[in-house]
Amino acid sequence: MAASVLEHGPIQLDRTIYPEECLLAATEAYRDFLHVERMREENGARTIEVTVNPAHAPQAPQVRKEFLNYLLDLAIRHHLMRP
Amino acid sequence: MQMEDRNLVPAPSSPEIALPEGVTRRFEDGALRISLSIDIYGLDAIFRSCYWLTDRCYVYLAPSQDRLIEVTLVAKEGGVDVTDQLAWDFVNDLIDQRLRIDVNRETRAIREMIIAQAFAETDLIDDRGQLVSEAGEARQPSSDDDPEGIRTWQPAS
Repeated sequence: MAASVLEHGPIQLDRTIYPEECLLAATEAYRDFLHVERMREENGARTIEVTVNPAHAPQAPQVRKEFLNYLLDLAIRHHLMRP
Repeated sequence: MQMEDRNLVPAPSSPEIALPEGVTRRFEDGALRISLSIDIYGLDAIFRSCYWLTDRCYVYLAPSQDRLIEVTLVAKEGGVDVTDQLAWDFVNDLIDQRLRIDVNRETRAIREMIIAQAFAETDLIDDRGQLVSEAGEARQPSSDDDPEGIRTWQPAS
């Protein structure tokens, strides 16, 4: 049984769910905690790799999940605030 | 039924067991993935339910094939049992949100009319519920009106 994407591995972010500006904003907000590397973009989705900074390595899974939740929060607000 | 029996409410079974095969998947870290039909629930309802859940769960969304969306969630605190309970709460809230969106859409016109009336200096609707014209008079019925849809009626056969 594998770990979920919440804890491990590359993360595929679909553009229709996670808009570009939300990814940029979340990356900026978490820049003291982690680094986001863009690996590839295809079929309307981009794949990113999240590397937690060494200072926060003991809480790496937690930091990663908090980042994803923050990103989702921004994305949902973006979608629901549309006129 | 005896008094003590009333407290014996069985705990809901795991979504993995209760939901149809292939709808859910359990991961090593305790996370649960649920595949949902966008056609049934709608993306807005899914977004709203996820938003409502993010204070208690970590959530990740990914579209899948055949107009499905996969929601992966894991409880912030607690084990698999807590994640399962939150998954049930999430599925129930989805139905609630979908219904709210439908009711909102169906009643939009009347709500807008009520708000317009509330801020209008003159009546937009007369005592009989007829729309008042710009000149301030109730619109008179015309011979061209077809309120019962008689002219467009077609026999069933």
